[in-house]
Amino acid sequence: MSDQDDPAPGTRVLIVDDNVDTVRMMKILLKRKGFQVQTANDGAEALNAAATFRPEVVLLDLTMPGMSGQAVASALREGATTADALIVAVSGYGDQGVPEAFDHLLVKPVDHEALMTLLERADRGPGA
Amino acid sequence: MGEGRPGDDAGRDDLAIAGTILTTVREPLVILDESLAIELVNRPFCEAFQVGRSEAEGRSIYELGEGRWDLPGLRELLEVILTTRPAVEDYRIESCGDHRTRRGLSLNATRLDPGGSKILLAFRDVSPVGHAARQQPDPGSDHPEEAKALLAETLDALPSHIAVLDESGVILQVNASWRRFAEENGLRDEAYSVGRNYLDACVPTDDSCLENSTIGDGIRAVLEGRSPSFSCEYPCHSPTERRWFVMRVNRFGGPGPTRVVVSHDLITERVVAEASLRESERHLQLAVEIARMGTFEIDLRTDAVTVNEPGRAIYGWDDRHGTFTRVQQHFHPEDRDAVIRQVAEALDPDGPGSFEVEQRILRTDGAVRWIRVRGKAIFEGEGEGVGEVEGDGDGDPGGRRAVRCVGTFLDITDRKDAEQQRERLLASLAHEKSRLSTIVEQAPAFICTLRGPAHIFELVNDRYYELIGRGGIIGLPVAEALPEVVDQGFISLLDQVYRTGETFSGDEIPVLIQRSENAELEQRFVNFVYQPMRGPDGAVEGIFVHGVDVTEMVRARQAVAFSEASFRQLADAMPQIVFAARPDGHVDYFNRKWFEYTGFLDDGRTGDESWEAVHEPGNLDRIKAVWSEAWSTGQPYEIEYRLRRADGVFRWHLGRALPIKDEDGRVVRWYGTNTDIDDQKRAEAAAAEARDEAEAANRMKDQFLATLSHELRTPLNAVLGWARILRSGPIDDEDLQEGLAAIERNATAQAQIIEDLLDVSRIVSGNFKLEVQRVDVREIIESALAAVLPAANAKEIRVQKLLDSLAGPVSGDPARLQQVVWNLLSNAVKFTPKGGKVQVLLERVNSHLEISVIDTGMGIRPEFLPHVFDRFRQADSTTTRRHGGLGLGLSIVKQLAELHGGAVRAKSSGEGQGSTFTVMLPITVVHPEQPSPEQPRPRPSEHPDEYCKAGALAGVRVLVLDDEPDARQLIRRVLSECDAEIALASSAAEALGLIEQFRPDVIVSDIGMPDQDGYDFMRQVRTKRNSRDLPAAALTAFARPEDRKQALLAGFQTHVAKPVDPSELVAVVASLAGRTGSIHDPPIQG
Repeated sequence: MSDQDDPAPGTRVLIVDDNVDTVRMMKILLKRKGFQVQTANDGAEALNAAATFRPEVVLLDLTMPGMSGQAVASALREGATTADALIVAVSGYGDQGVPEAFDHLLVKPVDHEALMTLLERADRGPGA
Repeated sequence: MGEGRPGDDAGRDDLAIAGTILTTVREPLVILDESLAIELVNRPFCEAFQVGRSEAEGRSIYELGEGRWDLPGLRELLEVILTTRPAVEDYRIESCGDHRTRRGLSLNATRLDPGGSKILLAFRDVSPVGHAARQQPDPGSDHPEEAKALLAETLDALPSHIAVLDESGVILQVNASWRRFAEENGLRDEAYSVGRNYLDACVPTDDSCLENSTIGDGIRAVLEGRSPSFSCEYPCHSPTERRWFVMRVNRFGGPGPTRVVVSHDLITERVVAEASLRESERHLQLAVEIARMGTFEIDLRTDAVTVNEPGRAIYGWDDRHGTFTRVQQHFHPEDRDAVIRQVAEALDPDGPGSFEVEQRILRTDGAVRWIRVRGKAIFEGEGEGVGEVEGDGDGDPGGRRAVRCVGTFLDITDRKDAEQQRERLLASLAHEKSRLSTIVEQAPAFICTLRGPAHIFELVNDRYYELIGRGGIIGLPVAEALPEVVDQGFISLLDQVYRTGETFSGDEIPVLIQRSENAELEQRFVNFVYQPMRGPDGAVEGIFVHGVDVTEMVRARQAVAFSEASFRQLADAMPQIVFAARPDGHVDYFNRKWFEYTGFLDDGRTGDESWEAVHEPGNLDRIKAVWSEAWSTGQPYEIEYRLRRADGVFRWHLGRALPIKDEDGRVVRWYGTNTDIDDQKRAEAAAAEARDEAEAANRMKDQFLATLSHELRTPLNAVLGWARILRSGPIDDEDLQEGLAAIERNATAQAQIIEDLLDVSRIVSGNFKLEVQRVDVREIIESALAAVLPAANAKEIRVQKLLDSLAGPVSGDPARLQQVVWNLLSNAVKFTPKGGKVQVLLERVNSHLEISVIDTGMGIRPEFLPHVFDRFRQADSTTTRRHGGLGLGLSIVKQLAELHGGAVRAKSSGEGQGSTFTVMLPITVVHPEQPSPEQPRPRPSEHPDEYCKAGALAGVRVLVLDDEPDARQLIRRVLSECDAEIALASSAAEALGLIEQFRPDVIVSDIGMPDQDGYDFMRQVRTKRNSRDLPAAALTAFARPEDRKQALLAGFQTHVAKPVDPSELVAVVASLAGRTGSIHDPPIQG
């Protein structure tokens, strides 16, 4: 089913979260919506993946062991391939405002409709 | 006056003649006057030098001696006599002539009067010829009778009364005048006769005029050669006449025996003449005055005035005649009318007939003169011719009529001037007096004068009246006027001043005065002077008293001294340090507290050095600056500093000082305190710390809520996401399984979080119940290990266990103990990186078991170690935290361990060095010895035989207090089965009563009870019975360390955990009752 729905080459989305279950769930969800998805469980992994995968959208957990989401976002902004990516913060702490280097903030549990609206806009964005 | 023969001169001459005669019977003598003219020569002189008496007398001795003697030698002798020595004996000169007739002469020269006006020269022939001559019979010595007769004859011829005395005063010879006077005056016949000592009789008759001793001494001085002569004048009145005499006494030396000649001469005439001269001088003055008196005569009928010469001189007129009208014009205008009126009255036939006025006139030269005028009216018929009388007979009804006025007038200007001068002087004197009296009255001092030895008040000023508070004392002696001071020493002081004439002054002398009637004696203080007042002769006549009442000053000073003393007493009683300083900041007083606090000796040290030593050296500059700012501006001083106590401890003090100012606003004193605020400071610091802590706690709570949110939302995210996926349509089986598993995991994790929260909440609120039972710790550890193993495996973490098989069971809640171990293990796995290692150890250490969880993880920074068990704490701040979790796990571990009577500790060598967490649990009390596996822990339901050795508590009387009936019954059943005797109480009051009635050996008491809890109950028990007599065990469900501590403090010896384990209860009671050996590890410890 996921293969059918895969609108490759769709928008590239990188999912970063230390909660393995969340990452898996998001990956399945977005693949079914036709996005190209890669995942990472911590910051270092995320930066490695971003370098080759060149994501157009990064869903980035703010609170992780090792590098914090904030540090990862700043690093992505400096990377040539990800400087213009749509970086969305995903936080369990509630709506505390969009942190620096991020474009949007989503509060856990993530509202899927809001997430889709964001991703569709990003999808049209480059093409528009 | 110059007339007549002056008796004294004659007498003196006579005396000299007599002297000459006496001493020159055989030898030539000459008497020279002051001009060295020969006054007298004697017969031997005439014979010796062949010169006639008349030829010699009156000639200069030098003139006479020309050609006779060696004149230069004679001149030299006479100069010596006149200038230096009164007498020279045996002075040698030579007579002139050829060698045949030349002779040697020896001269005795004597000055006759003390004034030295006459000189007696006696010649003696010392030449061989002369000697030869003298060998010849001397007419004097040959004819002594003749000489004596001659002398007597000569003496008798003299008018003076003369007596010749020998050197002892015996009368040798008297002359006729002497004898006659004695006879005439009936002098004691023999006393003045030859052969009597004149000194016995020389008393003048009127001894009031001259002291006898004066005459006697004078004569004696001459007799003894101390004085060449003596003379005095004295009165010697007879019954019929007043007489005065002069007495002269002269001594003559010469070759013969000493002789003294006494002569008396009557000088009454002279004395009388002198007196009459004085009288006539007065007469003369009178005459002169009279000569200046003006006379006047007015003919009233013609207005003609006749004035004599002196009178005209007074007016300055030349003309002898004038008119009365003209005279009046010369009267002073201011006096004129009054004079004319008086004259008119005198002329009135019915008037007095005379007048006397003193008036001013204007002289012709314009000068104003005062005259006194006496006038008399002459009426018709008085002193007039007959014709006039007839003229009066024309029948004038007035009878008489004044026809003339006569009188005198005198210039009294000088007297008037003197009078005016005197009046002026008197006026100024009066003015001075009144000024003086004003000064005295207004003087700030009290003043009085006291007259005479009785100190009679003479003059008193108002201040003095004020002081003594009464009047009417003038004329009274002090002792009478101020009776109350008599015994205070003032009278004797006055007596002393009066007697010695020495001024006395006293300062601040207290005196008790009754200042008003019926009043009490009042004490005043006075500074005063008693100053003697002396009369013209220098004798003390009175005492001048002046002084000042200084009572108020003294009182004020006393008040100040009193207030200073009060201040010091007060200051010494104060718990604060009190000091005082001068206006210049010099500290000169400290109270007792200062010396107690600093340990300094009160050695009188003042100023900076007295206080510098107790301050911190680094602070001195600041303190001095603040202090000097205060006293230089007069602003209050306030500062905080630390003062060193005697034991060296610095304590915070609040130093304050305020200036005391005088009426002019000048600072006169500083008073200050040092208040110990050390405790307050500490409290403030503690409060600040508490505040910081509260704030930190608040922040922590906020962080915790954020973390909680994150920890709850993260699994929720997975759960909801998967649910969405599962619902969204067809899904392959693999994904389905994965989704369901994820949902379950995350929901479980969330539930665990909630469970943790609730645990913490229960623990904090004290609402946490342990399900206590025998627990084998090894089983607990195995179960926990199994729970974390999947996570460990996922991170490739090796887990090792090392469990001591001899570690016995403990008493505890197995689920909670497992929670403890699981928490530690999952923490270790969580914080240990992939491929790391986690160890768990169980071992017995002394009386407890230790469970240690050791990891090779990230470790703990040393500064965070103390907080590792705090709630809501994680080493990292919220947004950068690397690890999930609420941070409650370790806090829960700690609380649970302590609930089990155990403890927990953390160790780490630092970041990256791994961590070790150790939980200590006490070994159950009922198994002090090593438990054997064959003896499993007894359960409450087990048979009594298992926990009750036969008769273990036989006869032990146990009082059981518990408010729950079930609990009471359970305990009774357990203990009864061990043969103990039981009494049950449901309240503290009931139990207290049973202590006396039942007399228990052991008490077992619940703690948590309504009304009165177990602690209170035990405290009451302990006021009556000590722990040795009546030991006690507390039953507690919630055995935190502080609870056990409180139980101990209240008087319990041990405690038994609820719900009660029968074996433990029996063991404890047996132990307390002394029925078992010991309780090795009472649960109260740990």
